[in-house]
Amino acid sequence: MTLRSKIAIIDLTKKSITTESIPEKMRRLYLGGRGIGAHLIYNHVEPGTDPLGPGNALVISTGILTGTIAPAAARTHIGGKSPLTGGFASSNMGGFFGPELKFAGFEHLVIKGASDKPVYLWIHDGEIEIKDASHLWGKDTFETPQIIRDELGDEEIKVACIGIAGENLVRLANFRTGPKNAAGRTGTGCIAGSKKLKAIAVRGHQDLKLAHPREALEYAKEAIDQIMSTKVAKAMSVDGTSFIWNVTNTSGLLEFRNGQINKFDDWQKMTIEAFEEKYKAGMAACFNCSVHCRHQFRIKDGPWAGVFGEGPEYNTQTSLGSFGADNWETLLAGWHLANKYGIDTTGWSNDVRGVMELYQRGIIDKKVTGGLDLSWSNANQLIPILLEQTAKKEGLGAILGLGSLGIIRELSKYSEDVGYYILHVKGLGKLGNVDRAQPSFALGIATSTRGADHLRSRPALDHYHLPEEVLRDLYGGYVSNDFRSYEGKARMVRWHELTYAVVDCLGTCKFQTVFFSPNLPAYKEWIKYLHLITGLEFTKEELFDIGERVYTLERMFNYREAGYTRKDDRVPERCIKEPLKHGLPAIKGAHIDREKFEKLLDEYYELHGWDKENGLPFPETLKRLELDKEPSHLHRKSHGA
Amino acid sequence: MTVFPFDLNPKGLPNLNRKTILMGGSMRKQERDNVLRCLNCFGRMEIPLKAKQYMCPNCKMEYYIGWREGQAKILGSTDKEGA
Repeated sequence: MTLRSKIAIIDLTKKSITTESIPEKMRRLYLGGRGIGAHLIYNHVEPGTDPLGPGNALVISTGILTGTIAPAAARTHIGGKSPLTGGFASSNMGGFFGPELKFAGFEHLVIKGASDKPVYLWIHDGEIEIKDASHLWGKDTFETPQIIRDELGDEEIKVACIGIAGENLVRLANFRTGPKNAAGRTGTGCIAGSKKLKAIAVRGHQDLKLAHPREALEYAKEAIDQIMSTKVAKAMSVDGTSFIWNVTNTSGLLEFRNGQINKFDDWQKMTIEAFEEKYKAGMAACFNCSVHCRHQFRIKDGPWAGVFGEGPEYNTQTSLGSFGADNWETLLAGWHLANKYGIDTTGWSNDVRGVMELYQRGIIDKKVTGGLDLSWSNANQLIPILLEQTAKKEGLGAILGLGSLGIIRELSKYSEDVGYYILHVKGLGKLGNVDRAQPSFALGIATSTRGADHLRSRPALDHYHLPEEVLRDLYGGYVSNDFRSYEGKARMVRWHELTYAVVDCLGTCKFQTVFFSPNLPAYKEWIKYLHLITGLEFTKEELFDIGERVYTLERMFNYREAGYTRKDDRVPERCIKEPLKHGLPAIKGAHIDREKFEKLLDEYYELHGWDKENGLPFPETLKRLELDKEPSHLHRKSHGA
Repeated sequence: MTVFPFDLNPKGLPNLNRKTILMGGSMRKQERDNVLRCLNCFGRMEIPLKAKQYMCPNCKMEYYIGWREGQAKILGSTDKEGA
C-alpha cells in the first residue's frame, strides 16, 4: 500500500531509532508531507528550545503522493525550528530523494538530539543505520554523495546532505540533493549541522502498490495531456523557470541594487537564449515529471572552465543577478558555488544586496568589509569571493552568514538605519523581485509562516488579468483582476496559501498546479489522484480545511517559539516609502499604501478566523480545525487564561 | 483502445515515453501561441508570426518579441531607463 510508509524517530544523542505507523486520523487531519511534518515539528520540537540545541528536531517529510505515478510527485519537505528566523523552518525540494525514501519504507523522519561526532543515516528497505561520517566532514555537497555511493557499493543510492556552510552553522545553510535541488530556505542545513548530521543516504526496493492501478495509469496520461497543453508548461520545458525573467524585467518588476532600481536595460545579455548559446548542456527532470524544466550547463572556458551543473532558474537570475552582475558566467559560477557549499541563494543574495547598499551609503567601509570594495560595479568579482567567505565564516562572511536579523544586530552600531536597508520579513530575506506594485504579493510575504517568501502564497494568477467571473469561481468571492488593486486580495492570498499547503502535503511540484495557470491541476484532479492512488476519499472542502489547519498550526508555532504576531506581518519599509522609479507606466510610481495594507490585513485575519489585534486564532477557529487538542501555549498567552 | 504513454517495467512502474509526452495533448490550441497580453494595458495582442517587434494597438507600448518553438514571448520593451 502507498500508505504503509512509516514515521521514524531517530535520536542522535541516544543513538536510538523507533518507528511508528501513520494513524488514519493523522492522514485525515494533515494528509502528508508538509502537513504531517508541521504536526511532528509542533510536537517534537521542545518549546523554547535553542534552534541549534538538541531540543530542536529536523523533520524530513515526503508527500502522500511522493514516489507515485501522480505527475511530478517528487517533493520532500524539511523543517524544524529555524536558526535563521527563530520561527518555523520549512523548505521543499524536488529531485529523486523523496521517492527513494518512500521506496525504502519511510514517509517521515524525525531527527532529534545531537551526535557528538559527525554521522550520516543509511536507510534501506525498512532499515535505518547511524554511520560514522568523520571522513565526510569538510566535503562539499557534490563529493559527499559519491563517497557514500562508493563505500556502500550502489550507484542508485540517493543522498541529501549539507555542505561546509551547514557544518559551520551558517544560518543560511541548506539541506540539498542532486546537482541542484535544495530545501534552501530557513536554515535547514544549519539545523542538520548542529546535530552533526552530514547526510542521509536512501535506497529502496519496496513497491508502492496503487489502489486502482489501471485507472491510475489512464488518469496519469490525461493529467500529462492536461499539463502539457498549457502554454506555461511548454514555455518551462524550453526556457525552464527563466521564462518568467524577461516578462517581469520588461514590466519593471525586478529589483536591482537592493530595490533602488527595478529594471535591467541590458536584458539582451541575460536572456535564456544568450545562456543557451554558450552554456546549455541539456534539460533534465525530477522524478516522474513530463515538463523537464531543469537546464544543465557547462562552462567551457575562462576561470570556471569545466564546471558542470544544473540551472539556471528564475531564482538564480533574481537572486545572484540582482547585484547588477551582467554576465551568465558569474551567475552560473555563483550558483555552482552556492550549491557546492550548501547556501540558500535567495536569502544570501538579499542580505548581500543590503550590505552593499550600506557600503554605497557610507554606513560601513572597508574596515568592516575586510578590505573589500563592495561597489555595485564589482558584483561580478564579489559573488564568488563572498560565497566562499560566507561558507567558511571568514572575513565579511562571518557577518553575512548570520542572516538578516544577525546582520542588523551586528551592524546597527554603525547606523540606526541598517534595519531599513536589510530587507526581510520575520528574519527571512526576500527574492529580488518587486512586491510593492502588487498588494497581493506584499500581503503574501508579510503573512507567510516562514517569512518573506514567494512560494508560500504567491498568486501569480494576479498578473494574468483573468476575467473577474473566472476569479470569482476560483476564489468564491469578488477579486479584482487588476494586480495593483487591493480589492479581494486578502481572499486571493488566503486561497493560495492554503492551496499551496495542500500541494506541499501531496508532494507534487507547485509549478504543475494552479500556481501558474487555472488550466493546470487543482482540487478536482488532486481528489482523483488521491482516490486512484491511495484509495482515500476527500472532498475539496476537506482538502482546503487541511491547508488551513496546516497554515494555522505553523502560525501557532511561530507565536509559541518567536512571539510573532500582527506586528511582524509587515513588508520592508522600502516597499511603502519608496515608489518604483522605472518600468512600464502601469508600474512606475507604485508602492504599498500603509493604510490600505492595514485594512487588507484586517480582512485577511477575518477570513482566517484570527483576531485583528494580534493575528492569532480565536478558540472557535482552533476548535473548528481540531487544533484545540494540540499542546498549545497559544491560549495562555493570547487570552490570559 | 486506450494508448498509454508508458511502458511498464518489470516492477510495474512506468517508463515515460518522452516523445509522446512532449507532443502534448489534444487540448492544446495552436492559435494561442501567438497571442500575448500587453504588460502595460493588459489588452490582448495577436503577434504576426516571426515578428521581432510589436506595438500594442491599444496603449502603443512597443515590445521586442522572441519565438520559442512557435510560441511568442515578450523579451523587452523598446524604452531604456533602468540599470
